[in-house]
Amino acid sequence: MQKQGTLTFYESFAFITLITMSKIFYTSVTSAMNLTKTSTWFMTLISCFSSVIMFYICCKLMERFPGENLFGVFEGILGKFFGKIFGMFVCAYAVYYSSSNLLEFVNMLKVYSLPNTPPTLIITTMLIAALIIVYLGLEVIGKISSLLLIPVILGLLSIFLFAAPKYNFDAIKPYLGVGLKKTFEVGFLRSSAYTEVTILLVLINSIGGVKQIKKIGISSLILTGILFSISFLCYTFIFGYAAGGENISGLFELSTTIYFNRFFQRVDSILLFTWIIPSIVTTSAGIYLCLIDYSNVFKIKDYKPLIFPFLFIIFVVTSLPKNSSEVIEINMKIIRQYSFLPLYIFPIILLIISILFNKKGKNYNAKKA
Amino acid sequence: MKEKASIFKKLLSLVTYTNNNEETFSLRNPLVEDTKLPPYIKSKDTINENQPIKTDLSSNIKFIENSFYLPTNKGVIIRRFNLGNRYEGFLVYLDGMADSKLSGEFILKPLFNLNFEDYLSSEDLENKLNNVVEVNRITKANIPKEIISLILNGDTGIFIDGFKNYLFCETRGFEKRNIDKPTIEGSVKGSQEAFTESLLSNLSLIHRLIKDTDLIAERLVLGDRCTSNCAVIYIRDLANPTIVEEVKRRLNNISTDFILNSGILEQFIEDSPNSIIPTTLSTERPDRAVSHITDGRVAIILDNSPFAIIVPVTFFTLIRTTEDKAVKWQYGILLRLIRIFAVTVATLLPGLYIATTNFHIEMIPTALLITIAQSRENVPFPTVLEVVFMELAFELIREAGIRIPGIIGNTIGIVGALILGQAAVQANIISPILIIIISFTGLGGFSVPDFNLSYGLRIIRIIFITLGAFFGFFGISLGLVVGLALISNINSFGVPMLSDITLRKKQSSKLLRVPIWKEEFRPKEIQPIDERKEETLSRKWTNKPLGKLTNKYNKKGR
Repeated sequence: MQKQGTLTFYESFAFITLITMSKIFYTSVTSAMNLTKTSTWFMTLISCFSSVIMFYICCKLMERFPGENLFGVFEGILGKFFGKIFGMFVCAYAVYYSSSNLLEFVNMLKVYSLPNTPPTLIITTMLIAALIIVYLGLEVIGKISSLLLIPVILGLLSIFLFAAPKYNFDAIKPYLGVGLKKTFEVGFLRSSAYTEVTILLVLINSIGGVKQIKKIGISSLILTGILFSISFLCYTFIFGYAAGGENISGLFELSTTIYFNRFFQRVDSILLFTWIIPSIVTTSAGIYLCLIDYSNVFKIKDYKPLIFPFLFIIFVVTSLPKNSSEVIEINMKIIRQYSFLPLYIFPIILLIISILFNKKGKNYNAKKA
Repeated sequence: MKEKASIFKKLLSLVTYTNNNEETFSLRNPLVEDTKLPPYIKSKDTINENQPIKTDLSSNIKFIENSFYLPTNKGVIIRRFNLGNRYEGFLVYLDGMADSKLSGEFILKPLFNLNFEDYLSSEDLENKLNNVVEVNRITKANIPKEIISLILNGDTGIFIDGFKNYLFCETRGFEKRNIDKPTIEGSVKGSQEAFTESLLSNLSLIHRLIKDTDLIAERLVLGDRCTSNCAVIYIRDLANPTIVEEVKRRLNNISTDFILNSGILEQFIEDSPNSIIPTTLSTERPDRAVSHITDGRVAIILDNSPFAIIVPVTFFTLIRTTEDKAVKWQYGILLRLIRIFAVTVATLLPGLYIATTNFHIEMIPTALLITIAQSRENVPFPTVLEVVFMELAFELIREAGIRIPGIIGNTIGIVGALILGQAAVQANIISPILIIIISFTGLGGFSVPDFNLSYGLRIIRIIFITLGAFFGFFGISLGLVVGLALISNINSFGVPMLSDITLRKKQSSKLLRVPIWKEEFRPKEIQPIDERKEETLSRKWTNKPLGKLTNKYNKKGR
């Protein structure tokens, strides 16, 4: 395998936080509101908490295979054949993840900002940008994430702050929303919204081992959980649970409500910057994951010649759905509700298998000693 | 066909004048066509440039004549003499480069005043001449390559029949410009001296500011055909040796005929030739160069170039000046913030204007939107075309301002901009608001302290105009992220260009300024040998509290 480059603690943290929080700008807010009404703000904290636990268990699996990334662990436990099949599955999922995210982004952009621009043009432009970033490699992705995280969070917080005069704090009543049982149920299922953290398991060797990714993953999950919760809360304060489920992009709608005086109004276009930046990083990260995964499975030394073919595949997959509602429907169900199955539950099953059959990495004993 | 051609020629001759008696000149390639070559084209007699010279006079005169194509070339002077009717020899120097008064008064005169009572061997004579000639420095040379180089540099060579070496006396005396005020990098509180074209003067300017025995100024010779002297300047126990070695390695491995100036040299040694952002810093200010050298960076000064090249640099080094530190830290912060704002404006403003007016009209407050709409009411062109037209006009005025000589050049910028702008607005070609946008952008560009960077920003601005015109804020955001990715991928002599803000390490070169007594460390991104610049408590006097102020000379107190 080729050398991927290294990421520092802050770069990895920024990278994971940025790609996890990018969905806050999409349909995630409204769809969650549809499910759990006024309890959405703490439902996401439950998702975050379950994600932390599942990620911690995944890290336990990685501890048994020091120096190996997720694919190495799969091959170590399931054997080469099934390991490769699972690698291919993850690769296909990464292609699907990138495409559906990209399409969701393009649809939103068309609705709110560029209604007359052909979607293929927007997709092509995004893919060209992703091509450049992916070509430059992991270190560059880490560096831009570390540079852009603070501006994006500040942009987000400023929207919440500027919309404050219109908050109706009674809108979160009844506090328990649809009831604790359903909230916990949905909360657990929606831990899929935080599965981006598992990228750390793939990039473990570039980051500096299990201890480091454990710290990065958990701190990034906590920050994202808090940001999600705040945005759900603010969104509920403005729209309430009834109107809240109707909007396409909750946060964009929230920003349109900002009004201070005749001069300071309709600043939602500025939100585009804080919205587009994480989307580009997310798309690039998805493509990078596909390439790394594919190169790992077939032992390809340099992933760069694969960039263009993969971009073409992603372009085709992005163009497949008939309309945006279909995308939102599929995206919501598969990615935001059930993606935890392959990305969290499967590694946990593997951990159980490895414990039962006493399977460990080559360097496990040496490391322990 | 031939007939037709001749008819055409006849017709052409009716309207044009040709003198048939004149021989027409046509260019020939002497190396391809069989033509009689002039003497100066003929190849030199083969001399092994690394073998010592012969000791007899006639061979040496022939060697000089052959090397400099005498007598066709009148630039090299050979002055033959006979000392005490015993020792025949000659003096050789390059006319104009060597000071002829100096060679006449302090070399020839003492030689002719010598008394030769006994016959001296060539070694003894060499020693005697060494003590007689009244110049500061005498260099011995016996390798043809060295001899030619010393003559070309303005030294005067003495050769006497039987000598194994030439004695080269330091007589460099060519005309040079005096040290003047900086013309590009002005300063209010900083030094008012700038580098000149003379390498020695430039080195003296640096030595004057850094009085440190650890300051090293290594000399290298660049260029295969026409050589140029170059100095690599650093502080021995500060600059990272890997950077110093890398600089020397790159300089020593340039294979080109001639390096005319530091701008060309920069292009030969930079890391990313395809990058729009420069990866070296070019300065005409000795104080700016010195502040970087004392931080642990390396300066490269080329002879005949009034600029020092500083390496390695980061993006934010390019927008810092020595002025920032010459004022209180609060003012320094303000200056740096203004400069960051200037870079942003110079890069993004026209693109943002196009994006806002074409794609995001809703975000413009109604009153302002009406003003813009009114100002554009009679303008027939789309905003993009307006911006492109004004950008072109602005660039033309700027370029013309530089090229037009003397006082007119300074005024044409203002007059041209005023008249052109006013006329364009009155003719309804350009809206007044666009004049404001472009002027503001221009001011931003002028506020960037690095000349190369301001060129780079101009190109980036064009890219953002295009992105804004096609995709609005989406395009600009894409451009920003990709631009950041590209810049963060560039290195300057191993140092990433964005290393002072990417938080890879705890950096000390702050984006904004801190009080001068709190700048304890040198920039960590360049990994200097000695990181600490000052002690934690650099203002030691603050240890002792100020006592009660009394006036013991007060009359009443006495």
